[in-house]
Amino acid sequence: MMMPKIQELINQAQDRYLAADELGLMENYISSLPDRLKLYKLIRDREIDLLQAVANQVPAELPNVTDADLETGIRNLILVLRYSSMAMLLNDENFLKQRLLNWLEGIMSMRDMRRLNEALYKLLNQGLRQHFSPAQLALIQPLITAAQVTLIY
Amino acid sequence: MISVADLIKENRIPSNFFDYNSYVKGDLEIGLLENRRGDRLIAVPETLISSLYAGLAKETGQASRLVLYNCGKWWGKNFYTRFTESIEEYYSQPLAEMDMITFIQSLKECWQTHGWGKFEFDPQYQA
Repeated sequence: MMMPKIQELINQAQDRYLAADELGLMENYISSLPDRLKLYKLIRDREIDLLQAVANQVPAELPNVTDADLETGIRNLILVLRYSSMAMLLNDENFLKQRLLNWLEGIMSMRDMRRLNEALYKLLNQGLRQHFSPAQLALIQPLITAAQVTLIY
Repeated sequence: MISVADLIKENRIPSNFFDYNSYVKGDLEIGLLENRRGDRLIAVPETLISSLYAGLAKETGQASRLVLYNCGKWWGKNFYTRFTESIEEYYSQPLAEMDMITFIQSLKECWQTHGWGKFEFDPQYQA
């Protein structure tokens, strides 16, 4: 992913000037930063609205869900959204995977949260599509999907 | 109906206290390692560990097992105190109220982040 790659480029630049394609890589990332920052702030500001809407719709999908389970599920979803946003900003999927998903996977494996998570991610994805443009979705969605795939399947 | 605003009121949702990247901090110049609470960590080469065993066996012979047993007991007691203090503080929750999964998962992560390896918890004898 991007940040480790840029780190590698910086190391290369100790011996020589960077070649055009290497600089292109750096330029791509840097020029995408304003969009990434903007999206990061948007997600931060809409966090409560986005996740409250998810929480409100869950009982219609799963009538038997308890408040305690729902709170645990939403709390984990908050973490996923926060780490995904940072991973998006850094363009580094490993930030999400290594720091959070490994941990959550361990927690989930011992507790049956599968059906609740399915509902949560379905509703979150719907919410994201309503709140963000296709270009913004292209930045954040792959990370949410990575979390979804890791935690549900 | 649950309130998301209430859930994030403290603006801090704890996840993994022992996440390697956040847990281990080091300063190469002064050669210090610390954990995220600012407690000192030490890195010990394997050679030193095996030399300690060998030296102990030579110095104390048969008694070395007893010495090791007592060292282990002392270490374990202190480790457990430090461990529970850390996670109680991190999750802002007394140990008695913490769910078993978080506790075990934290212990596993703690082990791994300190470089002691991975372990599987066997719940067979759990009361």
